[in-house]
Amino acid sequence: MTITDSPVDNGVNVQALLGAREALSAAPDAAQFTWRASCTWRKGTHSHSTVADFTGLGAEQQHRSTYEFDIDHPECFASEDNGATPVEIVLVGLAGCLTAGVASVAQHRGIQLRSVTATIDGQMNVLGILGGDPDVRNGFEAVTVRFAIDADASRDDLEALIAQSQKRSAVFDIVTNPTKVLVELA
Amino acid sequence: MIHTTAVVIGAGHAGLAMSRRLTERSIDHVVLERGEVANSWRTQRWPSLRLLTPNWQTRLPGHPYTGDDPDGFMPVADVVATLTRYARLVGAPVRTATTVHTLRAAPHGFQIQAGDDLLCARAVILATGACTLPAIPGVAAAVPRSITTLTPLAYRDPGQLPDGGVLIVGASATGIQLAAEIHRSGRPVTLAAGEHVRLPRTYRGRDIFWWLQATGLLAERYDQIDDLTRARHVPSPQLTGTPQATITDLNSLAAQRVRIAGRLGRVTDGVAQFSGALANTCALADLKMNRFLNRAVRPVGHSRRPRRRAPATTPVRTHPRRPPHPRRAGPHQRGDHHDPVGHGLPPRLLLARHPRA
Repeated sequence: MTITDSPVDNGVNVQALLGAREALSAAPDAAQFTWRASCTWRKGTHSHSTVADFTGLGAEQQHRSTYEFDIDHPECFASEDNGATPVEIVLVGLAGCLTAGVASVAQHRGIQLRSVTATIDGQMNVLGILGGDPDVRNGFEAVTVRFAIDADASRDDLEALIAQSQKRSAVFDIVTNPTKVLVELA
Repeated sequence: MIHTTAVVIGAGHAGLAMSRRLTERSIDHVVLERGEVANSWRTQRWPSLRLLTPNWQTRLPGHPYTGDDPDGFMPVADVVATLTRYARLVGAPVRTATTVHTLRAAPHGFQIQAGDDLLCARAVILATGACTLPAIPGVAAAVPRSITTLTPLAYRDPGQLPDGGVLIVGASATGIQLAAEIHRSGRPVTLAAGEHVRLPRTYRGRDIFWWLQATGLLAERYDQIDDLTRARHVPSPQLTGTPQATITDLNSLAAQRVRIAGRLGRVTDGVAQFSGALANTCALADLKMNRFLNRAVRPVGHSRRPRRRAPATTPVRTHPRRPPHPRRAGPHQRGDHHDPVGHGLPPRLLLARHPRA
């Protein structure tokens, strides 16, 4: 049975993804993407970010519309709480990436999903960012993602599904492995 | 100029077996060997190494295992003796101490420059081995010079290492064996484990290689595999060939207080950073192992569902410098996978990534 004949429909076009893998393996330049965002300071810890375009497939690409994000700190940090904190945005990115992976891998493996809910938490000792304890890191000490999945599949198959989703996830890799970051003045 | 029908490069088990097959067919040939017969086994293996395959599987054309310990695992010295004996037995025309410098296509085959000799052959068989060059990860370049680094090709025994902690990079067969041996020498050992393949030494009373052979996996040809690139990147399984057929895996090493870390990601200013994906690499290995045991093993002769005799799932225990949540720091709990990012690098580094050809 080919994927197109499969009654399983998670709304993922696996054929297109597999086609892209084949095409991009043959044209590695087109596989080189640049993702970008811009962020403008508003006031205090409040900033406003937009995501509109990216480079990929050898050309400039536009999102269907410009997506906007307000980022701030909560009131208990003496801020105005105009949006999610940056670290929560990271959690959103990780959960979104893993969830997209779950749907794609499920489609590829012929698993019909009925519902998928990820709850994610990141533990952090804020003494790190406050400079209060040199032994405490700024970032998360640990991140836990819990997937509740309702699907026609055994528990083993679902374990394999979330394992494969992590294996192929960009944000999981970004969060779990060191990345070279350069911050400079324009 | 020496003319011969075939030239075999390498007098290890593959080259010698090929020589025997050529002799059977009366095909004149020469076996070129840079050192002695079984050279890699003599010069590039640590003495405590034993084959991962049971003795009954250590057989060469016309030469089955006839010793009294078919279920044992051959020490490297016996491998050398076996191959040396076999070379004599089959009368392999080996030219020892003959390094091949160039191999190029010629009008009717190949031209080979070996030592001072120029050879001309219709066919060349490359039998130089899969593990003659160490695979050194790029991160090694960032390791401070004050730290002794070794690859498994140069490793002999723990006595060769300076005192102090040891980081072993790579947790396939070589990495886990060296982790166990070096840990026994009293040095604190950290093992950096990336994606790995886990198999139990024995399953349902038989050695795992019995199952691998019975399921046909060992007979699978390269052209029967749908994704060859992926297949060629599958690490060698975590196995040890000890006389007691013990299981060495991340669980047993962690129980002995070898510290298990994720894949070595980066070394910056003398500090090593390890991947936080260890829990998932362990989950992937557990899933793959159980898939093999449940699905592949079943048709071989057990109609009922195989027991999950189980190599327990890998709990991923590490020892963070300062456990941030003491209540979660108990042993053998999934979730206790705080990654030792930022841990000071142990002063010795042993690179045990599985070598690739």
